[in-house]
Amino acid sequence: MVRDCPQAKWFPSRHRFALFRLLALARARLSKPPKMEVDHLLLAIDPDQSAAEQYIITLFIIVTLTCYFASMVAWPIAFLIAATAIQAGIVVGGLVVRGATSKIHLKRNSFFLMTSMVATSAYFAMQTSPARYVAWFFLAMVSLNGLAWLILRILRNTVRELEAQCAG
Amino acid sequence: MTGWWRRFLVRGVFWRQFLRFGAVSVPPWIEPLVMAAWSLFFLLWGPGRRGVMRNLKAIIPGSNGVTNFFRCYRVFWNYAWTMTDNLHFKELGVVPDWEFVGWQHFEAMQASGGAILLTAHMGSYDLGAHLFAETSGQRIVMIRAPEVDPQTHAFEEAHRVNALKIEFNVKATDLALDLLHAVRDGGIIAIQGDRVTPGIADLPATLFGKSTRVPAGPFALAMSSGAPIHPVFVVRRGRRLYRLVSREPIRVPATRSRDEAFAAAVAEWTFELEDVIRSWWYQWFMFEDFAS
Repeated sequence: MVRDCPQAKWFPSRHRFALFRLLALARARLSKPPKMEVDHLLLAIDPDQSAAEQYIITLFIIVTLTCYFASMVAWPIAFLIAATAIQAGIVVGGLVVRGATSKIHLKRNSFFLMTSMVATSAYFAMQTSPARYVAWFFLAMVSLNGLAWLILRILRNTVRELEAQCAG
Repeated sequence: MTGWWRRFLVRGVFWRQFLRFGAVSVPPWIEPLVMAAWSLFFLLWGPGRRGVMRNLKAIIPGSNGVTNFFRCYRVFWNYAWTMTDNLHFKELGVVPDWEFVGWQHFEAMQASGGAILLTAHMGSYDLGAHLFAETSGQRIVMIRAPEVDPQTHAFEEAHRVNALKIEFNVKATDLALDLLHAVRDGGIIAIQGDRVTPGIADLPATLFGKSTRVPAGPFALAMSSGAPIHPVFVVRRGRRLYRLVSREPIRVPATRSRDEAFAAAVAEWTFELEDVIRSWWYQWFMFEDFAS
């Protein structure tokens, strides 16, 4: 936990995906540091802490999957199927991918679901329906995330320096 | 009510087990969708939905049923997130961000050497207790109503955080002496003061212009021990973000006119409660009509 250091809100280590970590780094470097608006502040340094990131990813996944199903059925039904498929995937993944501890279990299930999403996108990318554009976009985002990871590897000392601001 | 199917009732153990499974299986990047879907599903719980909607009508004067239905969804959505944050903390050790408002009162409580923390059905017990462990060396005893369903109660007991001492409020006189000793020994007693469990002594109060009852225990304890009552609220401000709001302490003088002293203290408490609920109505997890 970081105490009374509002700058920590934009630490890359509070984000999960490399693309968001890179954006967080850019924001932390380029914009004014956030103000302290309360008496005291305790910020957790956890990669899943960013609300914006998680909401954007959720929206991205559900929209992508809805587009895939919409190439087969009507849009409202496609949305319902997409929402149900995600929930079913979580349960199936949760039962199949067993981990010794809760943390490992969650990691494995996350990997299982994201891999399923990439595999589904690869399948639709090879089809002739308009859904292939959505699939290409999804795969492009995955590639971009990989690129962001490489950039962050190069900038790791900058990240370390930034995050040292709130140390102690 | 007996039978294997009772575990599937709204307060049954199945949902707690399922929630636990969800907490360790749902990746954070898809959580909002799962929360949205399950909050919608639990809107089918008629008594809970109606209770929240009736309360909203009193909290927000002039509000209509249709708007309150969507507000009710927001209450369920926040409740789902709060329960999940609680489980993430217990199962994965994930802690949220914390903001503090009214820190001087919180500090005064920690320095007072024995105090009563009066709170409402907002936020999470275990997360609040973790925060206490982070910021204070004092012993905290939490008083709460037991779960209605015995299996759910046993499940919650088996999965609770060990560092936290929880007492269950089942009879009016059962805990009185233990709690008095705990306060006098410098401990902090945390009690929820917005709902009365059947069989527990209560006091009349007025909340949002309606007659209601609040537990008498914290006020009697404050009078007998001389310890102040500290209104403290844990409010969920967003995803993995909570705010601890501390208000000015309430004193209950030991006088001959007990009823008057209690009435004045209860009025102070309901004033603070109303103020907090009015600001964060979507955080008040009161699923029964408070005026009933």
